[in-house]
Amino acid sequence: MDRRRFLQDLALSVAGIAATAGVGCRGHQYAHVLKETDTDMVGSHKAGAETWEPLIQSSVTQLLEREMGSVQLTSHDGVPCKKRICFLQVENQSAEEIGDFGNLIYQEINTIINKSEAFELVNVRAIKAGLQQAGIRADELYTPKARRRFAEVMEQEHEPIDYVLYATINSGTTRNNKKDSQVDYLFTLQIVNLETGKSEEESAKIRKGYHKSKLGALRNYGST
Amino acid sequence: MTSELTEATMTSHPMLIQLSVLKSTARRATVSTDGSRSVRTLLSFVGKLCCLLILPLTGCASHFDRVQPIRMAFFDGNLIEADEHLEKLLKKKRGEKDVLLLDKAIIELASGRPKEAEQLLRKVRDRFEELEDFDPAKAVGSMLTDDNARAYAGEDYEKVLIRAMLSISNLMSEGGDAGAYALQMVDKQQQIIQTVQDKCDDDKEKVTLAYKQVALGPYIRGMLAEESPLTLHEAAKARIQVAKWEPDFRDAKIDIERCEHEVPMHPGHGALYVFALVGRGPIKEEVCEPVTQVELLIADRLFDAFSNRNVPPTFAPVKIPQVVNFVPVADSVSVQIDQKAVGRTATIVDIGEMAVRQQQALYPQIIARAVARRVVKKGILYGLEEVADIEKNSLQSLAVMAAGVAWEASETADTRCWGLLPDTIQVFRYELPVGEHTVTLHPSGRHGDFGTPSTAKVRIHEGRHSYMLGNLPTSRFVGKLLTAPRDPNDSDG
Repeated sequence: MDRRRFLQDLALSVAGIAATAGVGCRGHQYAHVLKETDTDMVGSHKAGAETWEPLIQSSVTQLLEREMGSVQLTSHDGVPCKKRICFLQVENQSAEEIGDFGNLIYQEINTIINKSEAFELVNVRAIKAGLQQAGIRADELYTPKARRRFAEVMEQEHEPIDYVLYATINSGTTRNNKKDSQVDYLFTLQIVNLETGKSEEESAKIRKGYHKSKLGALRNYGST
Repeated sequence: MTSELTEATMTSHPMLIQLSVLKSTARRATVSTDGSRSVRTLLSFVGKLCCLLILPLTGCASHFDRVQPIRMAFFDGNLIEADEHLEKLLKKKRGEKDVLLLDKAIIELASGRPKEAEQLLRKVRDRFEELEDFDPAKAVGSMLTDDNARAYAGEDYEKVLIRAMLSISNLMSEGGDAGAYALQMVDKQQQIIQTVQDKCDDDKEKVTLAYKQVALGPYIRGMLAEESPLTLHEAAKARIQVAKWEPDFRDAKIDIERCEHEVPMHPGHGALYVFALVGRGPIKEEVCEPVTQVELLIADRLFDAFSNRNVPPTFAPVKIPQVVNFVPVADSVSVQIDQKAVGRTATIVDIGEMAVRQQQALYPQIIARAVARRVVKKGILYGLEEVADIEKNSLQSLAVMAAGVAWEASETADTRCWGLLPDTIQVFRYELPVGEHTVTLHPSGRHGDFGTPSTAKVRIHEGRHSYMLGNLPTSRFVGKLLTAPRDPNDSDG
């Protein structure tokens, strides 16, 4: 009798464990391809696509629109020509690592600029080679002397440059004593005209609230 | 594969038997109609439940014992063996996964794979952030067993040092986020200081001293800012902060002087920064500590959260984890460039001291938690005896007492910790002419250089920084000396 009960219990236990293993398995991951109309996922711990995409779109578009008014789109002999922009990298001065978003941000800016009628980006390898040949650093291009030297070298290499573009990411964090926080992300683009030395700047800002509970948004901002 | 299967079968088999025994006893306790028989069956069920809960716990090695082979292999410079031990433990011990991943990150870094190290560190950093929130279920669980039942959320010093190692790893992989991680380091320490101050109303000054800011954060920020002539003002500010937070840092004054009044790098020159992870970092081992009135008072407060009764006085020693430091084999690293001795590294973070200081500040709370746990366990047993109306000195009473003793004996201190941390993080800066240089690092002590040196070539670019990282837990360097920027021809790692 006892043996039968033991065997019944054993069978039940085995079935129970097997069922548990089947239901709550943590070894799987699922994915799906997003449609064009799907909104970006909102990063719960740091900035992601939902932050960088609109920041890049608005700042790059506005800066190019502003600069477009002042450029001549045809050369002196009437041939249409695009103004060439030198853009090296995104400088992260924020308190959040951008990780693989650094390259994505670069490519996004690249795509928007190359889609415009008035501007195009110079190949990054050509820029690096030019800087090395001129013996100057990217941030030294702020000084007129370094700019002239760099422009000369690029001209010799048949890669003339009209503008230098800098992109910087900054952030500021506000915390309350309930461990909720708000991070303001500021994306700044600065474009320097190599010919005139004149610089234009455009910034875009996004504020994000990070909460430890689902009601955090309601508590801090009165909405979810 | 075969050995894995065998291990799985061996562990699952007793568990199945335990489950079935438990189930059959529980059923018998429920169906019984006779009162006295019901109580006896209930007692028998509780007894078996205690035994089943305790059996898997008794005689288990602690985290301290389990990671010894990893540490030994790592200190011997055998990174492959250390990684193999670690992978085995990762499969077996899920509760120790995060802390083991931290050790793995150090192995990756020493193996010349800073990107992989950064990924692991980032993963654990995010996980520790999630675990910072109070989980009542886990808290109750830890009251019934021990602190090992809680998911390990990292010691305060570890949380800050994850960000420090992230910054160093990123620097070595030229990721561009080293500055962000350095800011996170400062921010995290500030958050911790705030939280601890809020918790310890009585001795704010003592706690603030124990949790002083880590100067490596502003050091890295200053270093990065110094690379550009446009941000020298920021560099000077960061250097001043380093001097303020770590007044004993040897190079603080020279760094400020250079940023404020000199040219950071002369024409035709660049600068080499050497980072050295020196010594064996702090670990935790189990100790039995006596209980005093202070800890009883704190336990009483802790107990208030669960019950409105006072803690009965219990002065018997409790098992708690204690931070243990090791006497460093090498004091610093002496740097030779192109056969010429140019200087020694200086300590910017003393991790051992940081860990001990923080544990001392929280010592009464650690003991109090152990006391509160003991009281909860005793309370449960007393309650059980009351409900079952067990006579004093009866056989049942003895059985319950024995179960109680076994329950308390099963408790082990939570010795989980980041075991492959260094004792100190040291730095050294030197300006060099543009070109390739041979850099040799020597373990160095009071009586000069000793042990096995390690050499690597480093390329200096005009007006730019180059970085080197060495891991020196004992008298010889473990793994590779990492350099950045890397030679594009070096495909390894």
